[in-house]
Amino acid sequence: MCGIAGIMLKNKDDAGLQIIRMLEAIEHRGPDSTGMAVFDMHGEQLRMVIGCPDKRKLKKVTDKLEQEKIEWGEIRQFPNFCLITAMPRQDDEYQKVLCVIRGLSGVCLYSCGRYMTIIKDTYLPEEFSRVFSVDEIKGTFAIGHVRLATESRVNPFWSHPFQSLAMPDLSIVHNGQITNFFKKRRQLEKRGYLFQTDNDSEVIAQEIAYYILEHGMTFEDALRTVAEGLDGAFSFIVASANAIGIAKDRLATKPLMVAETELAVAMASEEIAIEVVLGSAASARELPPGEVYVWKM
Amino acid sequence: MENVTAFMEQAYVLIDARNKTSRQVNEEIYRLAEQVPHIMIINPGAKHNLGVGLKAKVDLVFNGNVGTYAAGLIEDANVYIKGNAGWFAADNLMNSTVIVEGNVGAGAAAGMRGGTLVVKKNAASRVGQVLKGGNILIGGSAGYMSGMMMMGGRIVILGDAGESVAESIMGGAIYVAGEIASLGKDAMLAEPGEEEIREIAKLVAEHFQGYDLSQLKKIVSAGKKLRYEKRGDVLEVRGKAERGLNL
Repeated sequence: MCGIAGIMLKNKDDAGLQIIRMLEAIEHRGPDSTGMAVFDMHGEQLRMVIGCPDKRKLKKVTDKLEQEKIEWGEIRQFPNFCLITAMPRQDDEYQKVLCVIRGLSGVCLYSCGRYMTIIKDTYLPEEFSRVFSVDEIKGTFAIGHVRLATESRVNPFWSHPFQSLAMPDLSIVHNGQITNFFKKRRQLEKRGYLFQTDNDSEVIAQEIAYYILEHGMTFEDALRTVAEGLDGAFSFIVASANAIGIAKDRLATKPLMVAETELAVAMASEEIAIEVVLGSAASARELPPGEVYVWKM
Repeated sequence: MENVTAFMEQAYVLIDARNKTSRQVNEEIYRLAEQVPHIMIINPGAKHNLGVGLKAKVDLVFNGNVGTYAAGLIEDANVYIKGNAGWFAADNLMNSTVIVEGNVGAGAAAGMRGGTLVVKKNAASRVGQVLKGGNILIGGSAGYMSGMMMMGGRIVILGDAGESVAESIMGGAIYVAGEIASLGKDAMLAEPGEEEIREIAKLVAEHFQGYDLSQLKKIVSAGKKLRYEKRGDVLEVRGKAERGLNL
């Protein structure tokens, strides 16, 4: 099934805590993985977080980063993988980090952005929250996902949110199946877009990045163009450095509810997730088919 | 229960759903329904499957939002939901009344066989899909493919109807007081009779005030594809399906 959620806080910065509460409420929709992207408006340095499931490769990663004279920060160790944060200062260093990642099998770009932090792994939300101390992650808006794997493997790096390697601070979470995913992926790969998984949802993030970077579209126009071109069942939420957008397929086959109060704007696959953060008085509405909408910070 | 006023005139035994699973809440409902006539569930928290499968002469009030399949597969029990309901509310309703104060999600009253579903605000897509009998009243708008493949019964939409209303309708009728975005396959407009309009007006007046039904539009099956016809006491599906299957 999968469950998606998003929240944009108006007065607070505990988006990490709020999004995990939403995901706990809809964990029945996806037992395979939990993931979130939290956005903090005070980002400074671009951080490329490299995911390394095999600890024996850690030294190779750090050696290669040092060879390229790229600054790298803390190594964080978790049960299923290690994370190393590289801090490129210029565009060419960004490309060098991508080359380091591509040159080592099993290593991936786990999270990339000035404002965005992605965390994802194969846990249910409660355990996920403990392992990654999610309630300590600060931010003003966030998107999240609980996964029921249907198309591809159960693996931390195959979990949502997905991002595009071409564009930092952009991520998506998706409920559904994209049936023209193969065609779209081939077209994007021909244009040089690099995919890290064979999950259909990844194509959504890549295509949005493509329309923004190469056609100069706004976030909203890119979202609308991508939604119109997708075949299949979908509701998805996409977040950039200063906005959250939603899109729903034309047949309304996947649920997505939205509510807004003086506390926040919240969206989720089910009202139960909205009620835990906004209370029962926040009356959620079901989005109509084909709807695309953007909220800006 | 005829309407909301009738519900609110009763004294209720309370069940607090906070910190309970849907199963635990339902077990309490089933147990109490054998003993008392009026039960109110407080703090339902938009949980799923509340009240499902209840077969008892009891009045239930959910004092808040409920999730998917609320009041599904119920018989003899009347239900009042003082909030929103998720997908498939009143699914397969048999013979009683379900009133929702807020909005309902997709597929409300799917497969309903009798009784009445009243939605005070809006219904999302496919309300009354494969409807077999009974009445659905919607105070606001109804979404995409309302009445999809319905075989009987009535849907009355006091607001607007979305795209492809009455998609592949086989029997029954949909009445729309507002605008119709587009008709579904094998659906056509028909003229409602005076007696019919009076009957609809009486039904609406039990739950809503101040609606103008003078421009009521009626949608029925055009009968070119699948349709239900009565042959003696038996309802048969007649017609030709999309892919050339002759019946």
